[in-house]
Amino acid sequence: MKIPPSEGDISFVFNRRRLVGRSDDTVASALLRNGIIATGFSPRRRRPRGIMSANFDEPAALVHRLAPAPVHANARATTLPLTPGLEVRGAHADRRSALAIASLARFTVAGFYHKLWTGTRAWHTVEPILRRLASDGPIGGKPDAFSVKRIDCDVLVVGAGPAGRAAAASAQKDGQSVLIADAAPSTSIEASFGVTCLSATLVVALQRNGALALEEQASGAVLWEIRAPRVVLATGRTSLLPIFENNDLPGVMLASAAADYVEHFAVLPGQRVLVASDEPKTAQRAAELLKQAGAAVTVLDPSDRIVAALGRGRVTAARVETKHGYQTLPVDLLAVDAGSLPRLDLIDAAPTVCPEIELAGSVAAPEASALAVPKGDPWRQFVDICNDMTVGDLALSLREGFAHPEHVKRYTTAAMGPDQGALARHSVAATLTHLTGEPVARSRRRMPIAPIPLGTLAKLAE
Amino acid sequence: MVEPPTRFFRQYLANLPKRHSAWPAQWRKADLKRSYDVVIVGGGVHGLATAYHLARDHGIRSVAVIESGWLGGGNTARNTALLRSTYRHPASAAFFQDALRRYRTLGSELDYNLMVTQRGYLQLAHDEVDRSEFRAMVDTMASVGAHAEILSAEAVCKRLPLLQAEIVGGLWQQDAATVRHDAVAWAYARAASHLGVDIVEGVSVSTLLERIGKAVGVETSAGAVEADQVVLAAGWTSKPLAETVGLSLPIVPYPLMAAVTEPIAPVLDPVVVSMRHRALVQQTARGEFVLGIAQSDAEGETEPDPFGLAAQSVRGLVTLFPTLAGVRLMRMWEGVIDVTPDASPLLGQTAVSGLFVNCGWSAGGMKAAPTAGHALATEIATGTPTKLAAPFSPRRYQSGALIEEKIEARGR
Repeated sequence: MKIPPSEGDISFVFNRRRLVGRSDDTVASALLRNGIIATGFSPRRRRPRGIMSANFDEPAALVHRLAPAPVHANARATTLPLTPGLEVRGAHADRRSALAIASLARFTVAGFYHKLWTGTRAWHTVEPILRRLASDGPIGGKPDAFSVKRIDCDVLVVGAGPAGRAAAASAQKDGQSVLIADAAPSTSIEASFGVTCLSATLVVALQRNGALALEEQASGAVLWEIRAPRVVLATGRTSLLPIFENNDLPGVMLASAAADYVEHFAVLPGQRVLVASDEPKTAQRAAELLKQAGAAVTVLDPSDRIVAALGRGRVTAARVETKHGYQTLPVDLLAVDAGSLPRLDLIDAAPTVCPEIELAGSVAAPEASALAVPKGDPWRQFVDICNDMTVGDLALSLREGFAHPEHVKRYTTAAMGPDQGALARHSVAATLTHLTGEPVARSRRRMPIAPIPLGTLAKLAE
Repeated sequence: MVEPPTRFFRQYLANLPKRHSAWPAQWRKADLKRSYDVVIVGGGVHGLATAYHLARDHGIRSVAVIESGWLGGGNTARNTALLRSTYRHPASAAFFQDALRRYRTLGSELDYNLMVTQRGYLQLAHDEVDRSEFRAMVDTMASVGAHAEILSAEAVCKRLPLLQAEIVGGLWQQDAATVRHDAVAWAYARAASHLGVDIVEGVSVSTLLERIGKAVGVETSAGAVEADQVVLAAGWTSKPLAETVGLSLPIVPYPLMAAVTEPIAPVLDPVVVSMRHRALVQQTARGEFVLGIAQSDAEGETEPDPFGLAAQSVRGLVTLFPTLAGVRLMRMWEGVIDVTPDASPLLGQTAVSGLFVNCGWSAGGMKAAPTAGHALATEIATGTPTKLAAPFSPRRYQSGALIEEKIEARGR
């Protein structure tokens, strides 16, 4: 949905194209506003990648911020705010090299490099080439763009949603000093009830006496060292990406994210949408919002399921299994999920000694996900979108005896990409459970839960 | 005669039309038998390399490797994967040079790409004291056939275009390399398993069994296992196990941290170390920077938060390479290394008959595995240690012939 430029518009550069977005946009919402959903290509198989989420879980839409300084490689387009002079490039956005590699990458699978080039000389020839292909992240940091700030409070509330605000308000009523941190770039509760609020600030780790949080700024980043004896997590839930063929194609989006784009950014991510959520509430919200915004919406019957996304470069249709057989629906957006889980990454990665933790809101509700692996080509059913790992790779890993979650992780590198496996961690465990028929634990979440610039850590030592 | 495994390359070709559906397990999931010639406690690179050499070089195939967790899950999984032989003591330099040489052909030998990549090792000299120390090291190394050289400040800057710090030169080892650490364990496991070694995961050893001053087996979570000889290759947990037969190993567990950043286009070729700035950094083939994190100097005080500790080393790194300030740290992890008083390993026959050790590696274990495994297997089979391994006998703590590498172990 294109909206004519008006006041408050910001022009920015994406993959060398000049585009216009709004001042409260993220890069992702601004791209969707311009009718763009694909941002770049994946690192290994060079498959097209596009916007999938509307928050920090984003596994696919990674972009490099080239300007303004400092350079920020592998930034999530979904949380990177639009700022004046912004220039971004999608990860591995070079189309020609992408096509060349994609044609070769068809023959590669998890761990393939251990089985080929076992001779020293062969490896020494190949290694520099692989190394150059592995990442295109730029560098260009200025140490003074980064700083550390310290703050004390009685209660730190993580997340400024309704539950977070309620927790903050009640703690404040009890006479406690309260700090709210929220990852959204523009949190609109500033000074609403006298609580200190850090926006664009993601709490990345719990520490012995509090927490560390990273505030993103246009000109750098601030690492907040927060001392707080009590932490309230109002971090909400993570949606699980369902598994079907080509579930990595641009145009596959989490249902909650599609709804968020309409509600928070007034942008319509697709014109013909198939909504398929494991959670009736989410499905209803997405369908209503998308319909109101003018999209043609089909809600998938709970007894049917998507077996494949179709299209070259982006979704143009979906293949659906119904009681009456297979059916192909022409759509340009799949608003989907396979249920949701409480976002407990901070607890999963917490040190043994840390502040008292309380849960508020939907994060306190149990897991509600039933990830199924439908019939289809396992090498096109993606489990880790960021690191290009499929059901086929995980099955191969099991076949070769790498069955312990840590072995699977190391052999396939699933959930080890620059998105830190926010979604993939769960998908990997669910897929392994499906493949082995036994419950498989998630691999361990490690601190920090979101990447922090070395420049801020360096300042922490001063 | 045991059939060697089908070459990986042929298996790969055969699997292409089958869409990789016909790959066998890389190592057998063995059931623990009641008795073996040799039982090895610890399924990391050292235990597995020892088992491989016992089976391949000496035909001793009745061998079990017992791992309490998952294979290669101890310090094998937690290190900076660096291969070098820049050591102060001639015995160490000779030992690690031999390991470096073995690593170069290990991939072909085991038919497994261990991603041994010759990147070179560059230790920065910040003053004349550093430089004279390096010169002494180069001479020691030369006396045992290991090569390193002193670089001028200009030559260092040429190799490190991003370097911004004042330096007077550097120590350069061209042959030094990085390795895919996990793959070393997997490759040894695959080869050893094919030679008949039983690899058992998820079984823990609680005590060693002893009869009239001789080790005769181990008590495990899956029952007692008899053995003519027992090898402890279980990192710092070798110490409490040795105590069950009254043997006191001079090992202190020491936590050590490392961190990894997000992937970035290649900008740093060699492995760089600066003792003054407490920094160790290398950029992997995937583009991630792996950072070694120095331990805290403040002993006895409450230990700092992991980030407080990491910050010290990261500050050093950013001082050296300011353009890396914007690169983001993705993960940190901690391991517990097994440090000895002289920071050199304990390798060979102990005071208890039939009990051997391959531990106390003091943060240097990954780079030693091929030579250590070969040496210990030889000693077990023939009763005599190899010339390279003899100085590292645990009995040096009785004779007093220590191999002082203490500074080496700090901050690596």
